[in-house]
Amino acid sequence: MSFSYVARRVGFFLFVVWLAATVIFVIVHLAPGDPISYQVGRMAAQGQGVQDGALLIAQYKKQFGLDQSLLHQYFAYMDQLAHGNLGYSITNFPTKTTLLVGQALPWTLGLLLTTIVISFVIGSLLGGLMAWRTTPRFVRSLLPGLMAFAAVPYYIVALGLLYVFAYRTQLLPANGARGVLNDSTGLAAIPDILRHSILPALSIIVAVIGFWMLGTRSTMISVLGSDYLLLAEAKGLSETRIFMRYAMRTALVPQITVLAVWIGGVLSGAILVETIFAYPGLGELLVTSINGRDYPVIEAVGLAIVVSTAGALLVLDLLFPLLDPRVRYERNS
Amino acid sequence: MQRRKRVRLGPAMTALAVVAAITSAVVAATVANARTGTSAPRSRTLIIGQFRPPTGYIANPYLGASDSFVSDGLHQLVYEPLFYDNAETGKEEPWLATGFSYDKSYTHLTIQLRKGVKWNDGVALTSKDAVYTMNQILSTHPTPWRSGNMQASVASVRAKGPYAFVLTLKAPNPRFVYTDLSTYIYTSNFQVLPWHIFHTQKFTTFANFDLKKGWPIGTGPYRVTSATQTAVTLTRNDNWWALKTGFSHAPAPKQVVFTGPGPEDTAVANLEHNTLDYAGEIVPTVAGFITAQKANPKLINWSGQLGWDDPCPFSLTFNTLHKPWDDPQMRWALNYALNKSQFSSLFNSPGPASPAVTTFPAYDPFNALLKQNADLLKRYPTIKYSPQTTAQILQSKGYKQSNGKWIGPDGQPLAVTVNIFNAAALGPTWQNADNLVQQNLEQAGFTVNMQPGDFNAIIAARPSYSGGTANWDLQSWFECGSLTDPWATFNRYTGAPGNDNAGQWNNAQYNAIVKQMGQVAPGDKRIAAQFRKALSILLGELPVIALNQRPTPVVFNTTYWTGWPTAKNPWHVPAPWWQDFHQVVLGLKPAKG
Repeated sequence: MSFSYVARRVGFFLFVVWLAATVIFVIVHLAPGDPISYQVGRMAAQGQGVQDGALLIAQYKKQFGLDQSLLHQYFAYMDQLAHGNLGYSITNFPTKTTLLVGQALPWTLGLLLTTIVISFVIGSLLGGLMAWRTTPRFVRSLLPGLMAFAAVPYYIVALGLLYVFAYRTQLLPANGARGVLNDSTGLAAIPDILRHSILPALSIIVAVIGFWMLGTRSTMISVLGSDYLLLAEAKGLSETRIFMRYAMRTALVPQITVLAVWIGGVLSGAILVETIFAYPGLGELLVTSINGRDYPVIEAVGLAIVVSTAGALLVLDLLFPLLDPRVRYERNS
Repeated sequence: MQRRKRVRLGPAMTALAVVAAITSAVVAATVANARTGTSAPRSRTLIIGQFRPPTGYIANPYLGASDSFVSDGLHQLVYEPLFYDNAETGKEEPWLATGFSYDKSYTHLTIQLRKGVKWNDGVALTSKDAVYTMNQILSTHPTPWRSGNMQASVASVRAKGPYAFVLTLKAPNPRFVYTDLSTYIYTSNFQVLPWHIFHTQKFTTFANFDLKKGWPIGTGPYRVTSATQTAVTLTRNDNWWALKTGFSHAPAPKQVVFTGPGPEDTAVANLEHNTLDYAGEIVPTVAGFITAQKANPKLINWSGQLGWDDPCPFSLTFNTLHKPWDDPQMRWALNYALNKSQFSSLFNSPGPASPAVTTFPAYDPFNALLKQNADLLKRYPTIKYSPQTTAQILQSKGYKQSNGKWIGPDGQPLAVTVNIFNAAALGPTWQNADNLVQQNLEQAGFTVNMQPGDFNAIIAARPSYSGGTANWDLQSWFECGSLTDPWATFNRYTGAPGNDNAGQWNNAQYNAIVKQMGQVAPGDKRIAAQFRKALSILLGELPVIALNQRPTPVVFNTTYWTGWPTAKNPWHVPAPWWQDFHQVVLGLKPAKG
């Protein structure tokens, strides 16, 4: 892997991030309303009285630089970004945006990493087994059900799980990340946290697992006729080794590309799931910020989604030769 | 390929089984451990389903960002006001203050503070704290949160000994104690701050939150012991000043938790399963409450199936600067086209409709005043649905019908742009409400341009906030004004400082009457005559259409706690989002021993 290739990939990553940050900035600022009017309007709506509302709004806009032209605000934002500064939340001033994102991110990451790993591992293995002709019938019978779930949006699955496990049987909590009567900390808090994450996680896993299964099944079918499998058999390798080290490894390569792209998709889907379960991750933060038109926080959450997706693709690009020895990035190869 | 048929997949299946087994074990273990680690028993904990995440943990009540944290827990039970204004009984209940007195001109107001009040760290609350707080409010620009009226009304403040302070007002204002120093609609604008904590901090940025230091410091019966993005837990302070001085008994709940009720279905399930002791305001709806009550008969609502009347009726404001809506008769024509009973039913169903006759809340003092002026309401039948009358008025104005639409003398269709709350603003019922308004107006022959928007979009379209001009003809809003005295609602529609008068209606005669009313004390005998004159002008001109009263579900659970205020025993405002909820908590008793 040459330096120029790495530089090109990193350059493309930065370009994608810049482009996305610009698009998000423009969309957010073009939406009707602004964070200052929202705050002042709520003061009035709650009967607190507002003297000379337009002047008050103008003063606060000046304080946050919102009185400047959009172009000026854009360059100021880019300057901030270049210095790794996401600025202050407007509706939560004087709280820094990084603090808000930082306190929400672990919940979303915890939820997503577990769900992605579990759904990818189980889905891919099942997909591989579906294509393997000696797979027992009962495993194959899972196919239609999981295919059906793959077509159902996360939030529908979430509502179904809520109905069964929270509303009817009361086995699992319907919302939140911690029990309101549970004040345990440290390791003692883990069971409570896990318990609250089961339904949101299941909503994603159940909906996604069929997707991975179908994808791996398709690639596995194309792998089955490969000469190198016949060669492996001819060499007398064990059946398990052929399946896991030869067939699955090859079948998984395109799936891993999809996995990187899917991180962004799952993150977006998790936002809905978090809202349904009042789970305190990035999704909840994003919804709250959109309601209050908190520009810096909306931009920061949007950026987090873009960076995670583009970053995963970048890492994948750089690691691909290790996964698939056929892939070499040298120009002359 | 023959050989592959015989391949056994034991290890692969085993791997799958192991992943599944680990997942199942984790699930089983966490379910089994679910109810460990509680700090107070459920039977001694009050769980309130009223919550917005305290995103930035800002507990300084004068920062706008404090709204969620302060409104959902702190202003009820950690901070305390000078006075509670009990809108149900009409009584002023002195708390941190013992009383007040005005001079004859109503420009000098002396507040007596209660002796023996202590902050939760043991420091005494004195006039030094009150004067410091007011001075910060008056000297800070841009205007801090909840300080608009105070900056407009107060010229200066000075201490008068350790337990009294004097406010010099910019103009005679006999209502200042009610509107700004008491819990007037939801909260008190004046929250006394502890000088000994704040004076070394920057008032405009100090968050006042650090649990390790015991912050936020208040004078209330509870302290914050935990605050997360999903719940705020308050623990009873058994060294509360009111307990030590014998001014009050201790509240029964050892712990109070403010947490999110979840969406409608989750809120209903939480009420059914006794996970919550209260949910209301937005969820559950009336229908949701009825569903929950069938499963849990221990649930009660303020008034049977319907809830407590929020003092801010829904309305539609005319942009009186836009033609033809500058003409009162045209405004009346549109009013007759709206079926307000049907509109109200959308919100109250399956309970009875409660269309609003005026923009006053349907509280006893206003019901009595309106009853005295029944002839005016007969002359101006605001809730009459009569498209025929609409047609008569429009014909008299030279409009003609063409293909079901009214065409004006200028050949243009009679168009109306309606800027109205959508479902994202105030709940899913607004989707149906928007459809109904559009349907009513179109059936009556108006050419309707609907502009539904969330709360932010609606606010941004109000000229008083945007600084521009309104591009709508009708805008939805809610009319927070009066609680026991009629002046505040009337004042909304004047150009006086402190209101947003989004419709830009201006009537000199009306303004003069309301100004006179504002200069006499609440309860003054002259108010009845002033009320009649102002109401007569307001109804005749109709700058704002009152849509419906807002019976808001306030669902209490009597499984663990009893003594809740209800319509049958309305001893206090029940709303847990109001600062007055302090008094409700003091009145609760454990249901089981």
